Amino acid sequence: MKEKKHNHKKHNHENHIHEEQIQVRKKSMTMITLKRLSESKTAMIGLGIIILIFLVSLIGPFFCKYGVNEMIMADRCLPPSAKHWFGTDTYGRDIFVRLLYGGRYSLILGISGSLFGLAIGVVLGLINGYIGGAFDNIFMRILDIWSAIPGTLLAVLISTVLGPGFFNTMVALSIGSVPLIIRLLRGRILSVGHEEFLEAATTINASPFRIMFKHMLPNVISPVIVNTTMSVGGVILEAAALSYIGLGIQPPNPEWGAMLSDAKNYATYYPWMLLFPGCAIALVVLCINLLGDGLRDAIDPKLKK
Amino acid sequence: MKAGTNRMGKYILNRLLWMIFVLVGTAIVIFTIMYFIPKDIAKVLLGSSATQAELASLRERLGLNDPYIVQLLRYLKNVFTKFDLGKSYIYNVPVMQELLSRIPRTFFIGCSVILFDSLLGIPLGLMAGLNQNKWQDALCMVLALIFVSVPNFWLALQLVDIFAVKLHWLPAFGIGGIKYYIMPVFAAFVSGVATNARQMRSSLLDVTRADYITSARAKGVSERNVVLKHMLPNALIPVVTGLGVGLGKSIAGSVIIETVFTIPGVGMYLLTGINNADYPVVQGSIIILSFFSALVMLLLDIVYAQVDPRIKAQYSGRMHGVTK
Repeated sequence: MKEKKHNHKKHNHENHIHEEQIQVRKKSMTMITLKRLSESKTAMIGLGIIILIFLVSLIGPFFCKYGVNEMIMADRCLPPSAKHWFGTDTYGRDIFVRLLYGGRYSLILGISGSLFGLAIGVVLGLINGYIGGAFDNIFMRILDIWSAIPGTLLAVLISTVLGPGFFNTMVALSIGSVPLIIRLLRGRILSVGHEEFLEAATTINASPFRIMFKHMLPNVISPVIVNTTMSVGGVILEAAALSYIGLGIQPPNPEWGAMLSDAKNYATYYPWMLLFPGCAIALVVLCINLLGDGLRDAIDPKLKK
Repeated sequence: MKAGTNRMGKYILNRLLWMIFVLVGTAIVIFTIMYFIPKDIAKVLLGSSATQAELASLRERLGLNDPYIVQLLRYLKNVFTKFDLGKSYIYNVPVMQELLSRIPRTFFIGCSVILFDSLLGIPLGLMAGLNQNKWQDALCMVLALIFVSVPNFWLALQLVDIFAVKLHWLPAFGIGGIKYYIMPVFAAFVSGVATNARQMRSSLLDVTRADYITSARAKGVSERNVVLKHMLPNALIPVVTGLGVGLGKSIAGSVIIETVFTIPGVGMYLLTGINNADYPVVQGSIIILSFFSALVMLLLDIVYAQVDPRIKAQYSGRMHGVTK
């Protein structure tokens, strides 16, 4: 009796240790990635500047003397000075303040556009991977058609149909990225498809939902995460381009692309109107690309050369 | 050898048949998305002062009262049997006729962009990859990062400001001689150079570690031949795919570049169509641009089959050393 109890206790203890080990390992996978990421100087510089820009664009406007759409007719088209750091535009609006506000649009559009595409791609890709067989055949043919329309055109087409606005622009920007995400997932699912953990999950009668999101997803997601991180910069550029041609975010909202579109006719006389929004876009995209490169190397060190 | 040619023919035929399916599918998708435009086209065209009777007769004339499937089939039939993309609502000119005069300009820009992308991007990537972790590598990658981060329309606007307005070297907009295309092509190819250089570098580094490179060196192949004959052909395969994607992108990106430089190409036509709510124009331009990029992909697949020994082996039946 005593012995049995002791045994039980020992067993329990072992179990405990086992769980702890698992937890340590689980934690360390993410930790290793983050640690590798934090060792990359360029990625950290990129991250630092992005966080800085984001914080400044959230908090900054509260400390500004001028409102985002405040027009001061006496101050039209002023060059950069101590009063207006980046000058003013043709309506007498302070460009610096508008750039701060615009930072929210670009960053949030870029990130949410990529995440939205990621979400759609992951759900469709997992369902496709789970069902497989004939469905996969048909679905791949549909994807062929989907990806035959270039991403920019799809974005133009969808934002024409949906009309302007933040959410619509986000949808338009994300749809084009879906086929690639599904293809990446499919490749990974095919290579892990026959592994024991999936069979095990099926034998213990796990629900399809559980199998897809708890068992498959963690094993197939890393190339997709890398791809999505690398695409944020492109999405920001595309968002700016859409606003520039008059789709997407509309003036007087201070989206950077829309500001460029406003300024293009006056560039010759007032170059600062064009210079600063463009530099802002380039800086943000550059930092995001630096971070993306770092994250790719951290998640998949094989790619680091 | 003859069997190989036959199989190659079969492969191309297969791809062509598949292409037709993709083109029809693309047209269906584009038509369907456009069908959901929430605006009443008749009202847009006639303005708010139109009477109910006028609106009804216009809808009847444009065939807007038919059910979706009838409209779709009619459109497909017109596109694929008569090459007719409908008539512009505003100018009453067949869209196809207008597009035919514009396609060469868009295509010329697209092809020049790809040409410069590969002429500049591949050597840059090679230089970076062969001098890994040296200053050449760092320089190329920093340049590539900057190139890929700059919005092309902004670059275009700055170019216009410098070379057209300040220096008067190049015309700012419109079409004419080759001079008119210098700035648009430059603005469009810069980001592609960066993408290509990065792709070239990473695929070259992948190849550098392959066993066959070690064995080539071991059997005494000169370093120059290792690079030119063993590394380059293998490393180029993903770059060739990247070029196709790049051409698709630059054809789609023509909407933006052509707007900046007021070049009357397909992209510009598309944008005017959007601004005028001239939907046959929008639909036709997007279909034509998509067709182009799909055809480029097809062409690339065939080139790919010629270049990639693995695919070549599949159709020529020379797998596992068996010659048929």
